[in-house]
Formats: sequence, C-alpha cells, structure tokens
Amino acid sequence: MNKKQISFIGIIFLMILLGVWLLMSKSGRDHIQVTVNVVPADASIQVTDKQFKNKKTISLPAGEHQVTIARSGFVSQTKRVVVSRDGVSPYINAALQPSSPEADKWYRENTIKYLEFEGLVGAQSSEKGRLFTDKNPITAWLPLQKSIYMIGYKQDSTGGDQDIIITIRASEGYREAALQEIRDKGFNPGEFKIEFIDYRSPFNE
Amino acid sequence: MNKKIIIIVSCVGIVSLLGLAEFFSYKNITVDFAQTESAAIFYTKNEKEITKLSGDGTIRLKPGDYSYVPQGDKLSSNRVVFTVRGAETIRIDPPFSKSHLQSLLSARQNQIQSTLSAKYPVILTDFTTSDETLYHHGEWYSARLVQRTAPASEPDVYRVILKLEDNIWRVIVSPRLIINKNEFPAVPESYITNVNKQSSVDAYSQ
Repeated sequence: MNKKQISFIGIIFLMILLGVWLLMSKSGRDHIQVTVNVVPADASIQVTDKQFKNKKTISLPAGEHQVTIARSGFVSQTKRVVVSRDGVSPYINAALQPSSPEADKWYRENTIKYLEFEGLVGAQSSEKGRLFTDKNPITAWLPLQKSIYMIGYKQDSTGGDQDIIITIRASEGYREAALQEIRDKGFNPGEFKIEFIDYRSPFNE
Repeated sequence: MNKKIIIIVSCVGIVSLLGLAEFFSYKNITVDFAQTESAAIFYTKNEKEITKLSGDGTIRLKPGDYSYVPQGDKLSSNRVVFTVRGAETIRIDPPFSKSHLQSLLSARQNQIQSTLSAKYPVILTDFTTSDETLYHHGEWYSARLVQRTAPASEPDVYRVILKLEDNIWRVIVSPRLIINKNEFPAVPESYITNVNKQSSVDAYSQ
C-alpha cells in the first residue's frame, strides 16, 4: 500500500468518524435526560421497544411516553411520562410494592430506600410547584370564591404543562367584577387566556 | 532635528489623530419625516437640545442614547427615545395628537357605528358604546360596549377593535369580555391594554 492509498483511506475513515459524530450529536440534541428514581433500583424500565436497567438517567425524545417499571416478585407500574424541555426536568418515579415472600423480605430489609424515595418525590413536587407559581404568580391566590363569582384556573392543554387558562364562573353582569378583581390583584387580565364558564356571547356572527 | 521640533511634531501628530478619531466617531443619521408639515427637535440623553429639523435631512451623532420631540399641529408631541449604534435612517412618524384624534373621531363615528351595527345588530338595542378611542393616524379604533341593564343591575362590558383598511372599517377583534393580547399580535399592545381597562360608564346611567 503506497502513501497515497494510506492518505485516501485515512481521509475516508475521518469522514466516517465525523459523520457518526454529527449523527450522534444531532440525536443527542433531540433527546432529553430523564431522571430515574425507582425502588428497587434494579427494576427494569420499559419505554416502547427499549428497556433500561440500573440507570440513574435515561435519554428519551420529547413527547409523551408509556413507561412500565417491573421487577420479579413486585407489582409492576405503568405510567405516562411527558418529556419536555419546559419547566422542571422530567423524571420517572416508581416504588414497587412486593407481591411475593422474597420481595416482601427485601422490602422489610430496605425500608430506608422507600423513605428516601418519598423524600425525593416530595422535593421534586415542591420544586415543580415553586416553578409553576413563579411562572403563574396569579395562581398563588386562586381559586377565589366570592358570592357573585368564582375565579379558578386549569391547565392549558394547547400549551406547555405550566401554561394555564383562567376560568371565571359568574352570572351576567358580574363578569366585569371578576375581571376587576384580577386587576385589583395587580394583574393585567389581557395577558391571560380567560374562559368564562356557562357563558354565551350575545354577538352571534 | 532638535528635541524641540520632535516634541512639536509629536504633539501635532497626537492632536491630529485625536481630531480624526473624534471626527470618525460621529455617524450620519438620515432623518426621514413620514408627514409633511412636521418637525422634530433632537436632544441628548440629558435632554440638552442638539438641533431642530423641519424636513428630511441628515444629522451627525455619536453612538449613544438620544430623543426627539415631534412638532406639528396635528401631531402628538410625546418624546421618542432612540439609540444610535452606527449610520442609520430614522423615520419620524408620530401619532396624531389626542385632540386631533378626537376631532377625527367625531367625523368617523357614524361610519364606525354603521359598520358595527350592521355586523352586530344587537348593539343598537342592548348596548351603549363608550370610551371610543382612535389611535395612531386615526386608522385604529376601540370601544367598550356596555350592556344596557335594568337599574341597580351591573352590566357586562365588551371590548371591540376595528381598523380602517382601504377606506373601509373592518372588525379586527370581535366584541368580547376581555381581549387576550397574545391572540392578536397584529394589534398594538397599548391599544388592547387601553380598551381592556375598566369601563368608565355605567350602563343604566346612560
């Protein structure tokens, strides 16, 4: 093999490496790291056709996934996990309950792991709650019920999991009062999606 | 060449360089007036008057923050702040003054009301139009439609926005209890904020 051939093969090899690297980095960008918090830690995690085991994090594409956590001797759990870049990092939480004598023995010997799990879930929940309130400060005083109207909120299914729709239930003549309540709390009602419940516009187009 | 001459030449060189640096630090700002019979007074960030332009022209400014105050019989004299980063063109297109918009409104009210009542006949019987406002050069309009109710009852208040396009008033935001600014990105936010405010009128006081 002469020098020219070696150089040619070398260049081809480098190009293949570059292509593989580009492909991997692209697929990495499309995926999001999901924190795994399962007890027992060696339970298998099935996400569509992929199975994971003994992982602290797994990489999943954005979207909704059906996840099954299973281990022999324990009751399996199936969950819906929404993976998105918005808000808190996504996670898979599951503490499997024993369904066999061996598993029950393991459970009693590892109670501390279940307590740690509860602690982690609690911390995630309060972090999620804090982020939600930071993004939607109006929710700090909702729902609000007065004799003439009720102001609440619900998740906006057309937006991210932290987006909300303000709901107002008020009879005719009191809807403005409900909007004024929002103004009085220091918020601009024009910045929110507002849905009036049991309401029909008199302007039929 | 003795030392004295060297020092003088150096000083002249330094001063020349500083002069050139100062000269080139100014940027040509082309000022384009959208409306005839208008002028603008330009100010520094500290509100020190720089110059007054009464028609299209060019001024030289260093990069930084400035402002201008438009002048003209029909124009709003609200100060406009701008930043110079390099040579650029500034288009001076101030909105009409409130008083001029008010006089325009009187002239355009019938046409607007006809458009609204043709599209929403219920306005004629069940609503009172209040807080009518024209914006910019009179081509945007907003109003609150206050429901006529029995005495001692509170009215529902609806907001509506129209725009004059090709000499025809078109409803841009149909009457609704509140306008979500994100739903209508083509409508300037300040117009939505203004019409979304609490109504100044009680229906039964009409």
